[in-house]
Formats: sequence, C-alpha cells, structure tokens
Amino acid sequence: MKVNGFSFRRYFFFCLRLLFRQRREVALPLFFFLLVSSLFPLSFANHAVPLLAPAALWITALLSILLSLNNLFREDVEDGFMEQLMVAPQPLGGLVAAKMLAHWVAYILPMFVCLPLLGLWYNMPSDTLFVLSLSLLLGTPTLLVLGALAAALAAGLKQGGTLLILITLPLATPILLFGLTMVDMSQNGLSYAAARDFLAAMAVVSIGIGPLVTAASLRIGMD
Amino acid sequence: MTSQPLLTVEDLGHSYGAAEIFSAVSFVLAAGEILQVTGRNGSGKTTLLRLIAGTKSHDSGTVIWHDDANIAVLGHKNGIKGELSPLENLSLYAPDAKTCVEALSRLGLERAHHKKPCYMLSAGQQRKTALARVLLTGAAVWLLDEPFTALDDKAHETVTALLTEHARTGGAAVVATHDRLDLDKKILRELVMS
Repeated sequence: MKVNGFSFRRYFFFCLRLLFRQRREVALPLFFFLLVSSLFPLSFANHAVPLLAPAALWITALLSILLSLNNLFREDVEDGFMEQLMVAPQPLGGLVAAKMLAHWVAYILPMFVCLPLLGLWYNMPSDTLFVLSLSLLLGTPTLLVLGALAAALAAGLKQGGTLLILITLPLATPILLFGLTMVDMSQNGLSYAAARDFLAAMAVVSIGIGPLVTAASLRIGMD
Repeated sequence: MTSQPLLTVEDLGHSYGAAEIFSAVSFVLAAGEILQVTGRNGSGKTTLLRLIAGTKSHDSGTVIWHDDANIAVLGHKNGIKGELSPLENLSLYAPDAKTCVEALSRLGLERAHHKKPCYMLSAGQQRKTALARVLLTGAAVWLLDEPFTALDDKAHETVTALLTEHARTGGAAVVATHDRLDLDKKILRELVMS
C-alpha cells in the first residue's frame, strides 16, 4: 500500500521553505542563544570569563536547541500533515531525517555563524574557539536527535513543551559533559581525541537510528 | 461488477478502551467503485478510514491491499501548510508547477489564489487545495473523510464529477460523508455504520 508522493530531497527543501516563512519564530532560539550568551561575560570577573566561556556557550546552545524543538512535530500533528507523511511511499524515518536536517540547518547552523563573534566577546583564544565549535558540531546532531525523540513523544500533548525538556535534559547531560571535556582538555594542552571520538560516534549512531526511533514514536503517538 | 478487488476489509473492529466503536465491518472494494460510508456522529467513520489507511492500528480483523494499490488520504484536517501557497504545498507532490495549476484549476480554485499563503484563503479554498493534492497523487484508491466540508454547491458538483471520473478510469474511493453522493448507481455502494 503506498501513495505517489515526495522524495527525501523534495521534502527537505519543502521544510526549509516552510521554516523560512516562519523565520520570526525560527529566529527566536537564535536570539535567545545570542542574548543569554552575551550576558555571562557581564556577570563574572574578567579573569573568569574565558574559563566559563565553553560551559556558558554549551549550556546556552543546549537550551536554545530545546527551545526550538517544541514545534518540531506538534504543528504537523495539529494541521493533519503528519497523516500525509505517514501514508507517503517513503519510509517515515527518512522523512523525519529530512525534517531534522532542515531543522539543524535553520536553527543550529546560524549558531556557528555567531560563534566567532561570541568568541571575541568572551575574549576566547582562537584554538579554544575552534575546539568549542568542533565539540558543538559533533554534539548538536545527538542533541537534536534526543530532542526530536522527546518532541515526537510529546507531539500530541498539550503540555508537551515541559515534557520535552524533562525528557531531553537528563539524556543530553553526557553529551554536554563530553563536549566540555573536549574543550577543557584542549585548554590544558592535553589530547581531546577520546572525547571527540565519543561525540563523533554518538553523532553517527544518533543520525543512523534516531530518525527510525523517532518515526516509530510518532506512529505510536498518532495511534 | 467483475473488476479486480483493490481492497478487502474483513471483520474489522475497533474500541476506545472498553467502548466498542464498531465491529465485524467487512467489504471488498473493486476498481471502478465508490463506497460511501454513512452513519451517525461517533459511529466510527473517521476511525474506519484511519484503520484502512494504516495510520491507526486495529483491534480485530484484517485490511488487505491488493496489487500494492496506491492510496491518497484526505482527513478531517487538510494537511496543508498555512504559511505556504497552494502551489507551494502541492510542489511536494508534483515539482512541475503546470501540473499543480491544472489540479487546482480542476477544483475551481481561481489562479489569483494560487500564490497566496493558505492562511489567507477561505476554508473552502483550503479544502480545494487539499483535494487537488489527492488528484496529484495519482493514487488508485482515495480515502476521503467529509470531502465536501466548507465547499459551495459548485465545488460539491466538481468533486462529485471527479469521483465519477476516477471510478470510470479504474480508480476507487471510500468516502465518509453525511452528504448524499449523487453518483451513478452502477459505481456507488453504501456502507452504513451503526
């Protein structure tokens, strides 16, 4: 049983176009990231700022991603679009992956564009900024997958946003810790390869199975 | 009717908790047939369509699709994005804009509305966009839940004509509606949910 429908690529660009039309909402988590990150240097003594910078940026990025996830699937469920995805000929997991990729491009990629600016604001050495960016690059796919899974479970619930945060935060903690360990090792002149490899492995596993598990959650939620 | 069956439903039943919605629903839908599903509110018409579409799991019975039949679904909700225009919504199903324009025009949606965001359109115009999507899928079996909602008389006739044409070209449809389907008796069958 199938229906003539759309490809992964076409759906990816469809999601991007939709996110562009919703750019005011899309910009909010980025503004949150910029605003909250820029407050930390004002709150601490100058000498402490470079030391706190990685943790401040990582935690703010995590919260910003959580903020962006509330509407990942909820609108699709509410307007009936999820039903169309579920009867599409392509596996739902593939379409979920396309949506998540578009979400990463629209919400998370702009954070990386802002990082050099924040690095200046935090007076962060360029090599630390590089490792921090790398840790976020490797960590954010896993954070996104964990959040998407929670968003799928919470999609049909009225208070889904709170549930999403409660589910995701504990699961995201190891990623946060490994990301910060990576930067800390680098700052102390040690090899950060182990933490980097762990984050990379988690990213690969998350990207590989995350959309499938999320799709299964959506089907259960819609049932 | 000697046409090949596209869909067989046998002893289908569903309950919400302890409340049984329906049980032992059976029918065979063949190419060239339109099955009208009627019944009072809450009799399970929408649930039946969702069970057939596979978006909901059933408690008992079987749903068998023959020959890998394609399906198109129109639910209570239109499944279109308000921020996008009808053409942009349909671009998922047909990248060629001309095909999308043709589908929208067949439903009677004026060209002036093709590029407006759907949230600026009326409920009927949004419903027409969703119906145009059904056309674009090229599916053999249409599952339509209250397709005439918010449509004016002219659009009602258009959809009825499209159903007739679909059946005559070898398609089939299951239509849950309170409206009377003014179709040829040769292609129309009725299932009453009680």
